Amino acid sequence: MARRDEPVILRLYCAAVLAFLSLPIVVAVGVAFGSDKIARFPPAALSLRWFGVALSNPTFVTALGNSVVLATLTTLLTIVIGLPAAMALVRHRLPAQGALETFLLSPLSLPGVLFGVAMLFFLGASGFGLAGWGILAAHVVIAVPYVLRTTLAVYRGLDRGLEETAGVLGASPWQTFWHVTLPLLRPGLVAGGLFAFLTSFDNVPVSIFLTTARTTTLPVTIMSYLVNQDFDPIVGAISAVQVALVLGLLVLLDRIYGIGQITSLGGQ
Amino acid sequence: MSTAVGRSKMADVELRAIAKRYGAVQAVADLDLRVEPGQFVSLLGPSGCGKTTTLRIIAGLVRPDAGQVIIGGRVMNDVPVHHRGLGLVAQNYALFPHMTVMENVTFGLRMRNAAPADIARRAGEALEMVRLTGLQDRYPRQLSGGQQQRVALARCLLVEPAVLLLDEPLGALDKKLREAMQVELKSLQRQVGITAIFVTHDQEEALTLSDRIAVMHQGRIQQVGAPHDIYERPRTRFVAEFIGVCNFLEGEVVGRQPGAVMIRTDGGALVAVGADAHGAPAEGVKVVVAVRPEKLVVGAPGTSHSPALPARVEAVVYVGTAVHYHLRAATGERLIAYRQNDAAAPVALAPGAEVVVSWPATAARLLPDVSG
Ligand SMILES: Nc1ncnc2c1ncn2[C@@H]1O[C@H](COP(=O)(O)OP(=O)(O)OP(=O)(O)O)[C@@H](O)[C@H]1O
Ligand SMILES: [Mg+2]
Repeated sequence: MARRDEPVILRLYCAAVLAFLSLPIVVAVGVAFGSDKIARFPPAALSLRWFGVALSNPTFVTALGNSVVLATLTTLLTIVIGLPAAMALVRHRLPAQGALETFLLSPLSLPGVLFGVAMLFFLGASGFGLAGWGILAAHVVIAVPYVLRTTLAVYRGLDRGLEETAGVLGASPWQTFWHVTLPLLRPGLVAGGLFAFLTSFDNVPVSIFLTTARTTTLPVTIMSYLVNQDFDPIVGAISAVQVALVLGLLVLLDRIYGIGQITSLGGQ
Repeated sequence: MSTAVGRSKMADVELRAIAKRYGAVQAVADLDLRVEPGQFVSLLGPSGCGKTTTLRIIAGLVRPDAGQVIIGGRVMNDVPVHHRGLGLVAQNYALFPHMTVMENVTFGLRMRNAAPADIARRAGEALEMVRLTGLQDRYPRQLSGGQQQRVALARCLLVEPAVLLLDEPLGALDKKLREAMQVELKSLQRQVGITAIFVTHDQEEALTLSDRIAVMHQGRIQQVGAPHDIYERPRTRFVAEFIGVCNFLEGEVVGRQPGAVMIRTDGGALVAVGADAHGAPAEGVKVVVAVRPEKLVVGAPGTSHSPALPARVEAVVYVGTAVHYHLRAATGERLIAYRQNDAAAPVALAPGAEVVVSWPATAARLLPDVSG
């Protein structure tokens, strides 16, 4: 956020970076509001026609639904796995603690394509095949580090005395978790969960190896559409829907928790 | 006052042969301590001597390697923290940052599923008691240090703990507030009649607040006693040195008189120390003579009763209410003497003055020499 006493040059620099980041999205989304059959920016005449076309295309709609369900399940599972993992790493002395933490965070540094191929071979060789939970498992693996990292950062900064004092005051371990630990870890969980959702929601390199026509996700569908056809307003429209969903999620979280609180944790 | 918070279980606490080791560090060693019901006992000692560890063992946050923790006649070693029924105020207060003052204060009762009406009434009384009425909807970060401290105290008292454990609760406050809170804490403890164990490394604080003081050193209790007992009759050189300021003269027992022992200091001076009939060391034993600076009498040569050490004034430090004389005995020992700055005897001595130093035999203490 620009403060009034910020030097002009810094403000210009920030504006340039923001423009660089957002203009491509503005173009892709803007195209969807045209009435022409050919993608053009700025559109010659405004129309919502292509939204109608995109949202009545069963391929896109199925993919969108899959992506939402997949990202939601991924988020829930990463929290269910990441929270206890963070608690164990911070509050308990485990054998090979450092190695364990590095291992859990390692998917961050693994190239997506490599992991996608590896998962494909694994699912094939083990006879599990490309069932829906295969891609869910893959997304959970690549998303867990985000929840783990933010939760670890918050938990490590938390005074252990809070949980101890709760215990002395008569709270059982479960009550302490529910009334003290969990509320204080919530910023980390929400931030990590948000990253997990977004990671799953726009993943291509892993999903592309593991989806079938039935389990395909929106980014994969858009990509194969672009490979087979040209960029046209239908892609713009469905992209706009995707962006709107993400923005809606961010606004919702901002209302509940305040985005400042969430983003400040991402960098720790 | 006989409010709900005013009730207390007044348990006694007994530690038997407690030991705790962290790697190579023996944090607590063979520690015995008895705290009578309703007493205010301080654990006093330098940093790292095991005070916090001892307190955490009582609370159940640390499991001792050996020994027993007995509270209200019940062995607590295998009783989990949340079933011990204690109260703890930590140095940083450990207030729950996501709860209001009211939610913090009522935490213990809510965890016990007390009736809401009961919780509200008792919380109101507790807040009044620590003078926080009106602040119940604030969050901890919106309170001053002293207010936070009182919230932590109210939060403890509301669960009517058998024992109140305080780990340097005043350490984070500035001197003025600290002294005000000392008075407040003591009167609150007396009013509630609760057993309190108070950890501090501040000897003045311990002397002011405590019914009894346990002086700790390297994981062991060196001496337990009432404040004046600890000050007037220290049993070891460490205790004499840690509580207040003390002069030490090392020497050897050379003879006995009725009610006193004659000591030849290493520098060659002959001094007498009052000694009880029993326990006076035999001739030839190495000992340390300890005398408080305010017990020394500094006078012009030839004016004093024996035994007297000839000495020279090396420095005079004026501190307002008193004058401190830094002295060097003719036999080499360094001494410090305090002289009250009263109207009858204004500051007279200057650096370089030749004097004699003496003291009533009963004002000196004979301590075992542990260095040799
Ligand atoms: N969890 C721990 N792990 C390792 N060593 C510890 C631990 N807790 C305490 N110690 C060590 O045990 C000794 C006693 O520590 P303790 O905290 O009881 O001292 P203290 O008397 O409270 O000191 P202070 O006045 O500085 O608070 C110290 O040497 C300390 O380093
Ligand atoms: Mg301590």
